[in-house]
Amino acid sequence: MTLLQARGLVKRFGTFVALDGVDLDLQRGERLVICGPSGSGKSTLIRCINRLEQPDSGAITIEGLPSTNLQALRRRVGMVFQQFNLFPNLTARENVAVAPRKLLGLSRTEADARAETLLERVQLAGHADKLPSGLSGGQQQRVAIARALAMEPVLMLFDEPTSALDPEMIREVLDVMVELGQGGMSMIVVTHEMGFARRAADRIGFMDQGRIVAMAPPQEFFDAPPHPRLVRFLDNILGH
Amino acid sequence: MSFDWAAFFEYLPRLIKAAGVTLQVSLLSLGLTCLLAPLLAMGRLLGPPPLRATVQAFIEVIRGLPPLVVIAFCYFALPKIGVVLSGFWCGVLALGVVGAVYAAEIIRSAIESLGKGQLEAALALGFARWRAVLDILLPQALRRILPPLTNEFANLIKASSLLSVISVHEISQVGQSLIFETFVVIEILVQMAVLYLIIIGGVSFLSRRLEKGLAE
Repeated sequence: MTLLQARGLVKRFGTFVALDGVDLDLQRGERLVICGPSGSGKSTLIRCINRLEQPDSGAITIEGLPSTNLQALRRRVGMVFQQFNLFPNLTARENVAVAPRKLLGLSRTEADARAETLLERVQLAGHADKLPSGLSGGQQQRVAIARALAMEPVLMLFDEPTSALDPEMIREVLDVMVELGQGGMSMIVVTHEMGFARRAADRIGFMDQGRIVAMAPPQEFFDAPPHPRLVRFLDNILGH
Repeated sequence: MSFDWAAFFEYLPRLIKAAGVTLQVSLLSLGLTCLLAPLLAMGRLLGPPPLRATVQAFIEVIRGLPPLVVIAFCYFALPKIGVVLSGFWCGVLALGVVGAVYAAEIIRSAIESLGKGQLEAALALGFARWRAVLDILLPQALRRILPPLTNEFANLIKASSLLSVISVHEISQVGQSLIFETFVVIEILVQMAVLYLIIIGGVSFLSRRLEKGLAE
């Protein structure tokens, strides 16, 4: 069943065309990885899906509904940012609990209980009382994943979730994401982690100059790249 | 030069009474500032474009004027449109508005200095823009707001001395007329200075306590 359908997305920043007519379908439970050179429109694409960017034209439906109510849309779509963007004045627990409490009307006890469960799920059970400044980058990003999950989204968007991390912390974040995908979460992940893509993606899309120029299951994507520019891209990032 | 203690104590009660007026005017205009500044800041940050532009224009105009002009304007121009206020309330209004535009800019810049990521994180969770600002950004900004705001409050108290031009019987007005009446200059100036220092020191002390409370 189709969870997300995007048709003809166009987004310009001044004269720069970030998205040049993108169509995208995502099935429920599907894990899609999007890669491509920087400036190819990957981040813009997922930021248009939850309307942090307003597309200039095109249409997006989620679960068959057009996204007329911004807040309702964003509650169903979780997002994880490259720079984590945790709220620095709140503990890990409060970071996760704040949205359910303020937006879903959960009591403090209920919201805290939900936060504890989610922090446990991202392997941070003992860190609930720490402020973000007391956590490593990898831990912060896992709190950010728990925070996004707290609104019980039907779709999770990841915008280069490991690009700001030291190498030894990338693994712990990717492991959480793999597990999330195995649990049936629908995901769109913008990343350069090709190991993760091979391991966890159902399909991989390659973007170049604002278009999705190739889309294939991992095996085909890596072993028989369906586009000449993709061949070059893979050479560049896998070559060393 | 000899310091005339007898004169000092003779005129002290009148100046203490004037200090009461200064304190009243200051506290009332601080109250007005605290009421207006968040509204102006939120209007500027969250309002629909016409409101944003109006608020910004208002802030720029008031910031561009010396407080003395704003005070005179309130006192002499408002009656022409049927708003007649006593000198005292005129002073409260003028100082409150002047304080509010500066405080509004302090609040706005503190919120904007948090960076785009914080706002986006809140929006992505499903917070409406105004709730993101009130629930997520403002509590973070509070610590950056308070120190410059304290400064602004001290400025406001000092600016209350300008109300002498519209005959509000605050410290400066009473001090000046005493000097002209009695030609006792130094003693009265010292009294004025000490009274201002006590009032401003008190406000600074209270807000430092508040800052500490927030930091915990």
